[in-house]
Amino acid sequence: MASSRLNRGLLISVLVAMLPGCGSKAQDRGAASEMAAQTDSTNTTASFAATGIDPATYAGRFQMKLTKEVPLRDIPVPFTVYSGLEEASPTRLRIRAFMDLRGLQEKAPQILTGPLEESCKRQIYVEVRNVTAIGDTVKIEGSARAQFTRCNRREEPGLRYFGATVDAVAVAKAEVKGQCLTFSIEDVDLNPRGFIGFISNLFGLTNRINDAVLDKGGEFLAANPVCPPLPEEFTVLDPIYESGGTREIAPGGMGAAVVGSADVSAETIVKVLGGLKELGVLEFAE
Amino acid sequence: MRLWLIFPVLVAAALDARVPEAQQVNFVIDASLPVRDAELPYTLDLNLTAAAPTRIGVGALLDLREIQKTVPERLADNAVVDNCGLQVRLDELSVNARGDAIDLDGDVTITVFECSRTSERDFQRGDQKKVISANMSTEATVELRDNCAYFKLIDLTLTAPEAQREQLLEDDTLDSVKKLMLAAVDLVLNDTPLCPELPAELASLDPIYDNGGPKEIGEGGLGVFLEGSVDFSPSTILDILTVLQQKDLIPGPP
Repeated sequence: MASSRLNRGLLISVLVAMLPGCGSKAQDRGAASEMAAQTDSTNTTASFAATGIDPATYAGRFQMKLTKEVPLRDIPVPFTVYSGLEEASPTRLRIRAFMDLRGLQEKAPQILTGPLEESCKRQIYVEVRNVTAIGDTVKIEGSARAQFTRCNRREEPGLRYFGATVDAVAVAKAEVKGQCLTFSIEDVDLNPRGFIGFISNLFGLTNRINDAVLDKGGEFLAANPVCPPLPEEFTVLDPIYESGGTREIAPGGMGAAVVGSADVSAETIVKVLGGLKELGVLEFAE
Repeated sequence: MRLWLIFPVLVAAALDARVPEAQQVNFVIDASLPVRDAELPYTLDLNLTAAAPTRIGVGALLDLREIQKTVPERLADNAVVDNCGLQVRLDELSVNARGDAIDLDGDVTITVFECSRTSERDFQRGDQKKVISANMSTEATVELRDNCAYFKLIDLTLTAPEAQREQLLEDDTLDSVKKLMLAAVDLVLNDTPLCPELPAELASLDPIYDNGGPKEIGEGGLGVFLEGSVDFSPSTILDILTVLQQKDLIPGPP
């Protein structure tokens, strides 16, 4: 099956880009049950049953559900964000948000498939087939086609000396930085196809591809944090997100949870009122 | 291909930039003053300032220029005092703010009647004894009580035309008319406090006013200022958001 692609370069892992989401099937039940355990049985409400999302992840005296469609590469992607606010101390508010990223997960293959690198030395194309959440990590499955070429005088790809297609499985993990989720690649598993794969293993090319994917993919993910579309009403609070990451919803479904807090001072309240006024929801005169 | 990732960041940055930097915010609110069976409209200009980390200063300016225009019309030809022996009608009234004072000038018609007692408690108005036209001039101020502004007359001067003066001096008519008028007006004013009510969205701010008075707006325009502060907690924000949600102005709960 590698025959038609013999000349292409190698591979890479797919991983790349993904961000939010991917998930896998239900293999890792361990993670799922751990999550269920955190969620405490008292919260197992009807909404939990309906959405698979633990209400504890967005607990608060004030709660809001926001569904927003954001076009990504011209592809409309639905995001649903559940958020909760409550008083944490006389001067602080606690913010909890859970993002249902299953819409993104579904569209991810379409969004992420494309070139990862196009230099004169090598060109790497990634095709993403499936994105699965496993516990607090994200599994990205696909294949990568890599070509190694010599640069010609015009810095264009010249003579091709090696090419291969590699099946790739990457595991990414998100970390909360500021108010965004930054993904990094934890692990990549490349599996070169066919005879050429054997050759490339033999000559250590698989490792080069592996490195290229880790490098390029990691670079890309670090440069492209995922900033959840939180309600604007919360943004005016200027919250600090302290912890969070991706979470598995039901088997394989991708979501992300973040927890943060906001200081409440006279200035915050005045700022919030100003922000809400800007949003046009505080109008009292004709 | 992954440019979209940047999108939410830009949105967040843009939103952030839109939040006004000044530590104050201003709301213009349509309000009304209930007077008997009518609602007189006025404008409440509410200014909130982060005066200190734990103190929000409140400045409220009640723009009463609309009421200033309509009240004299509503009062015209009304009897301010009307008892058995005396009737005082307001023929004309003009209200003007001057700095931190309010001037009221008008013409009154004072009619004196015979009055006879018909029983323990009943009196019978008899013939008209005399009619006097007088000029009234008074100054009003504003008092703050129970978080409301009350208008109060400081003094009242009644001046009758030269020709009628002697007649008046005889029986102190003007003096008793003045006392009756002051009492009658005070009664009405005490009944119509200006208690600025905030819209439901801002009700949780619940300002406490500790100072207030008249304030001239533009040229002679009638206004009242109130100053105070807000006691707040993180719940204040939750209350505001909850009201916005109940009014469907922001997305609802899950």
